[in-house]
Amino acid sequence: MISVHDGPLSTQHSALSTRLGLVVEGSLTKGLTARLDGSCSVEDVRVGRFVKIRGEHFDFFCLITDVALGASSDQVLADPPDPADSFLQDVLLGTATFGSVVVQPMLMLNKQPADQVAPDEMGRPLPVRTIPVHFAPMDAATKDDFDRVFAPEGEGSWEIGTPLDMDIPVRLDLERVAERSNGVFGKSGSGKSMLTRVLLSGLIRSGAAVNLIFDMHSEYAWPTRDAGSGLMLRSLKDLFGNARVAVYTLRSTRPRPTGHRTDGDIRIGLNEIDIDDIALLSELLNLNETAIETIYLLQSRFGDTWLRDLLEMTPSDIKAFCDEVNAHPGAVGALNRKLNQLRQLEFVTDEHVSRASSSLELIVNSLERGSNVVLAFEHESQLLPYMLVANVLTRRIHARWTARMQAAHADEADRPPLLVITVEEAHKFLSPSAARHTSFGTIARELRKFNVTLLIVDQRPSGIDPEVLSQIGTRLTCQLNDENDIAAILAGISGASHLRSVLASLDSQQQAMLLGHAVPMPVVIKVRTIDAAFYADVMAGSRGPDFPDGKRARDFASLPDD
Amino acid sequence: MSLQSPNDQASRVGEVIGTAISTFQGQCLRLHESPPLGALVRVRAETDLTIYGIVVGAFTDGLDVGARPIPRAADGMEDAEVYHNHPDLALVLRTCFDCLVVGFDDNAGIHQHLPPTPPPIHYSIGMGSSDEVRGFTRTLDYFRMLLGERSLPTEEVLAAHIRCAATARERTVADETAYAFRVRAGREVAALLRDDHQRLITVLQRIRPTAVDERPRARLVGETR
Repeated sequence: MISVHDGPLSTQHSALSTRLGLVVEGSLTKGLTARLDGSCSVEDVRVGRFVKIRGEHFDFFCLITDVALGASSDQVLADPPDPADSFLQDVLLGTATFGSVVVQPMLMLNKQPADQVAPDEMGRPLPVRTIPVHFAPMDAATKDDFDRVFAPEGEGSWEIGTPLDMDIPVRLDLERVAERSNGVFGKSGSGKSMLTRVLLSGLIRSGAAVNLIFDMHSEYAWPTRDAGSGLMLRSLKDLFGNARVAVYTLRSTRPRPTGHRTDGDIRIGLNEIDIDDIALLSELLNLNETAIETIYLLQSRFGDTWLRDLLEMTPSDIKAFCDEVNAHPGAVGALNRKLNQLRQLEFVTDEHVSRASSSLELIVNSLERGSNVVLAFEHESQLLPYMLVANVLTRRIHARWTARMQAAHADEADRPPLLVITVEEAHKFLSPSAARHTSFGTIARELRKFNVTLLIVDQRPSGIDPEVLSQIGTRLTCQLNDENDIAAILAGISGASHLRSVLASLDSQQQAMLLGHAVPMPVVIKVRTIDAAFYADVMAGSRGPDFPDGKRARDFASLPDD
Repeated sequence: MSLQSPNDQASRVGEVIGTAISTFQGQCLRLHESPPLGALVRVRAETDLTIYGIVVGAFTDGLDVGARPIPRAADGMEDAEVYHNHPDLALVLRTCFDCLVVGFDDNAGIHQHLPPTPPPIHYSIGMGSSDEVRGFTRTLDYFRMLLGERSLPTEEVLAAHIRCAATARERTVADETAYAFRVRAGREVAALLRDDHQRLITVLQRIRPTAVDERPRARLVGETR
């Protein structure tokens, strides 16, 4: 995962490395203060920049978290030089007046000769447990440094962007990405979709996981125009071909734009909708606690067909049922009226849908075989259909994957392929109240063990259950303004207070901070532009149609918990 | 590194007439031909010891302790004509200059602290060549000795010295431009006078380049302090 170059480490500091300053004070908990050299303007260093400090025995990889102005005495400030006097400025800059930066060490790399280094420390970035000596020089990180810390170029890594002030790729190790649930966060218009698109392209290309994408706004299923640049973006199906990406939509009688090809329509029988699905929608359908209890009564009386039976009840049927089970007629009547909204959805059918004819089963089977699925909501991009379908489908996946993993543990069968479910508007599914009911909550908390992880795309991370958020492996965060959202992103991250300023300073577009499991240290990047070079990259390494038996995807359930 | 002076005789500006470990006094070869304030001078004491000093002052008085100069101008004759009409003046007056010892060169190289022995009396004092000045000012640790001398107008002397050293870089093809040297020297002064901003500004104002020798700031990029 981490490449270390041959030869003594001490000779790797080429003349090209640009010294920015010297460490003058600091502590492990509060970060280090480095005084900038006179030749380095304070305006040239930015919060979020990746720097390296050359200590005696270790190289420390750090992130700039604050920038400050200093002066050797108050007299200078009381009698400032004339701004037009460039000579005075040249002399005073770096001597009487100077810039300083606060950096947070994130990783350290032992650079002593091999015989003085413990074998487990050799060539591997370690968590920071000490700080560099006084006056250790601080350099701008070079390409070598990025290569030493981040995933090197290769089959399993994928370029996600470039550091802010350098034109060198920052890569993610896709296997590490896929082995845990991840989140793409950022306020509306900050570039979440683009970042998600880059990430998904990498995941599908490498085959690190099978993907199910709940495409609420039909962004990934068909070519779409980018709101920012106005360019047409190619669809995933277009990029990877029919054999690897299948597109499904909800059954609809409305005309579909030409060019929107699909592999099938989905219809959901009333018998396929469960109490948990309704419970998730309780806010949208305006249901109270009593309503949920009433549904339990209905289910115990009618079994699988409870929903259809309820919707077909006449007022006299309701009265008879209430007398029988001692329920409140008003409550059942209200439930009947409210749940009738579901019947209005074109893709919901009254017919009893058997397991064999279920389009949901079709999708689950397709995923099991290793085909990536994009579920485009097209006309039905409101929350109600989106949440209903996503939850009904995910519940089935949950059941299937759990059963298969249990069978695999008993050595009866193959493990199911690793599946990544991409879900937008995730806070609707994973709010503290909803996370209890939804399969998404269960998946986020524990389904990693069953080879299913989530890719959460959301603009409101503070709305997500903290318990779920704490299980998010890698956080890819675009600009966020709300203090609560920023706090939610940083919850449970050590040294988070230092990163707050970095996160708050992100540009409104195309910048993101990567943080967590798949990156060795937090890094701010300029997200990769989707252009001809990007498509060429996707095509170049794309593995042809595969997953015939679902064995291609790596199996992470066998990894120990950590 | 030892500095070689190609032509000792040509560079000769005076002779040591008073000496101590930290200062020495020289008498000029000719009346009124004192080396400029702030100039780097040297006395080659022995084959392996050259003592460097900086001119910190100069004066002219009578050779005879008891003889005081009296006004000689009269009937519209003044200034240079006075000397022309009284050729004896060149023999009864003398010009002397004071030097502060700032370092020495033995075979091991240049040291910017006091030498083991004072410059010998009656030895020749030579002007430092451009090469010698650039070699000696490669490091500027001796600024501290200059600034510490309370009996002198140190800001003026130091500023004059920095201007001299900058000029030495203008005359020759040097690896460091005159402007870059002024900035480097200014930074050294700024570090030494960090607690006395007024003195610092006094020096900086006196070493600020004039419009003629102003160098583009771009030359500074990549320099080290």
